[in-house]
Amino acid sequence: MAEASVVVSAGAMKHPRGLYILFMTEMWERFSYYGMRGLLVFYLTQHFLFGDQKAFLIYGAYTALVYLAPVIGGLLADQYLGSRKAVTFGAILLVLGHFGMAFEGPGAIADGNGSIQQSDFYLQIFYLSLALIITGVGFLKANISTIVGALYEQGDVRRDSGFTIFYMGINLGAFLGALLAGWLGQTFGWSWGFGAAGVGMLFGLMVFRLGQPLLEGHAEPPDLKHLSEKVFAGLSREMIVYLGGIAAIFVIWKMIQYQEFVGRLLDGFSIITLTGVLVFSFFRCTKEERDRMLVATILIIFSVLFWALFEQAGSSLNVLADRNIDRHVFGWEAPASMFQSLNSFFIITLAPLFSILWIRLGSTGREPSTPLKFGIGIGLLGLGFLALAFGLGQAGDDGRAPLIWLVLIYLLHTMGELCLSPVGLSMVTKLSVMRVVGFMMGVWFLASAYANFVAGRIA
Amino acid sequence: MATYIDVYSNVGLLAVGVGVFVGIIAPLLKKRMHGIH
Repeated sequence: MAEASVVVSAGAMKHPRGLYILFMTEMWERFSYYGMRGLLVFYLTQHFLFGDQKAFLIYGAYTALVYLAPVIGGLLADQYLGSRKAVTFGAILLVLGHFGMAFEGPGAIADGNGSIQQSDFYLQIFYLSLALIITGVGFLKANISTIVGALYEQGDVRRDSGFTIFYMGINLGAFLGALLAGWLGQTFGWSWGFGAAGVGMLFGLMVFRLGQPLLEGHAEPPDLKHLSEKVFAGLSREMIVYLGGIAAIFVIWKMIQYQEFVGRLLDGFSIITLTGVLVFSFFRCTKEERDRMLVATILIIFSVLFWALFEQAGSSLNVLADRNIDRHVFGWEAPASMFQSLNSFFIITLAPLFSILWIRLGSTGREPSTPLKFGIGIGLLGLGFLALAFGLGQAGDDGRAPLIWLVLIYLLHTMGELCLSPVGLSMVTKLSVMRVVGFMMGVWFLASAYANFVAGRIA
Repeated sequence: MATYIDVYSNVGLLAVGVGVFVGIIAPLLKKRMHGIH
């Protein structure tokens, strides 16, 4: 689930120099995120010797919170910090989190009776590192995209092209991160892989710090005087936000250790939110508004199904690649986590083709409607699983299926993603009644978080 | 391996089925979008 925003060619326009700072920062951030994510289930199952189900639950809870955190980080930046300070704070937390992951400690030991002895100290460092990364992503992810938008005036024709370049940075980072950190982590040791992710994020932080003058004041706090005003115990609002962020790390550190609790929270929020949307739609909307709200809700529910299955990539598909796929490429056996790069590779190569396809179909009035794109996306996802199931049936005596079937599932899943992802959020915002559009965006992100947790639960 | 094949076959069939279902109801959903594209 790297970013699959489809916009036509970036063209040869001259862009604000700040864009390239954001491109590099986000590229390194995604490098570290996807590099670490590709290794995570293996670290859990092979270093800490968690069972598959427990490892998938931890993975699901982690990715769910990663999707939820930017909602809060975005609000804090809009109200108080401004995007520049929020991104800087987030990047610092991410550097600490990724380097924290590199402190692996001794591997767990399985005694003959089925019990596992893990180092509690290093396990706590691991959970704390996850909490730092979740909080860091929360402060960085939404706000860096906000800065990209702020670099352009409303109606600037370069805007879409600028976002295309930015999204290419995201996918390039995801691609390189999975390849390099995956290879280092599974070949030379976990510390090497997670350390590479940390070094990548450090580059991102340095680029952002050094390049801040090029942002030309577009990411400053909304009210600097208000932000620096001392409000409690001699502390300014800015300092209180940072302390709140640090407090959040400790809360998440504890939460992530109780994955079922995270699941129940998400279950509860989802039921309450869905009920709220339905009650609002039936009792506070005109017929036309209600119809649109219900379509938006239905699309959100289908998106949960899509992402819950799509996000098997980092968990069950990753483990399957390790155990049941012949990963020899030109005589060299590639580590399984390196194949996490296939999604971003296919996005980079296929996104322009899909963009052209939709434009051509649109020019003849045959572009599929958004609901039909959702249907095609989910269907492609299913075909991917069927293709892999067929391919697994072709496994040799060694119990390993040909690599091509793994490549094929990622190809089909990415094609599905390119149908659904670029239109999903924008359609939900367009269909929502104006007075609740911000809430519905929050519902979309909650649905994405929920889907990630469900992915871990069903893996 | 047999478990993987079984689970992925079922998940695949379910997703294809849902995809076809969404495709069938897509015109109805589009109508209820009242001109939003």
